[in-house]
Amino acid sequence: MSDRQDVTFTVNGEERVIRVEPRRSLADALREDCGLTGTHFGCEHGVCGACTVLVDDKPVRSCLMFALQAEGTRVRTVEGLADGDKLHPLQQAFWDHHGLQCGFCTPGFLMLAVSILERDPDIAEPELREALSSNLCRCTGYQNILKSVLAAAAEMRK
Amino acid sequence: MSLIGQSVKRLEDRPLLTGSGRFAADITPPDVLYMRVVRSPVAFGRLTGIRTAEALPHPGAVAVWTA
Repeated sequence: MSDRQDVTFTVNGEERVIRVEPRRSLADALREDCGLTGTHFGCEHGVCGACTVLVDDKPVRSCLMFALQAEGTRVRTVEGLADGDKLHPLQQAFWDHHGLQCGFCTPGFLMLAVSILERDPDIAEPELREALSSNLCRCTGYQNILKSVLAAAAEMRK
Repeated sequence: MSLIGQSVKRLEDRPLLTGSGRFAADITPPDVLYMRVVRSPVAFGRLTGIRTAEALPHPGAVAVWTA
């Protein structure tokens, strides 16, 4: 294919230039062109949220967004959450409260939860429950994910 | 039996939480081939034949199998 185009954007604070076909999804670009396989494809049609990443701090389904649309944006993925060896409070809370089992949906849930708590650090439980219903998890039954995010929110308010 | 009744910290969680877990789709073995299943576009019909002659000469095509 000769109709590839350059995309310049930052991923987890690092500027990247990749050359992609116009039809390439952002999720594929992150996984294949940037080597960041922490972002997972679940359903590939915007239902499950496993591919959730933050684009200019807003959560998006990266399987539904073209890589070309990310031109000039700031993308954050699960790989950018921890600070070296120190886990982000959400990562630590998921670990402490058994917010994951197989871990496949976890990167999407983490990025969704980051965006929720950055927008509303004091979010009430009913609203949080509603917001977390954006994503699907087949292991946990969601209760421990809810618990994890509430615990992280409390930790982040300290 | 000190572990009974205790919550045990999972060893596998750190890689899963940091995006460094390895699922099947994250691995690309050398010389990997890609496969596509082509199903009938007709919901209810009688199959009278499958023409594969045009598929195999495609650049990079390794095999075409029919059932």
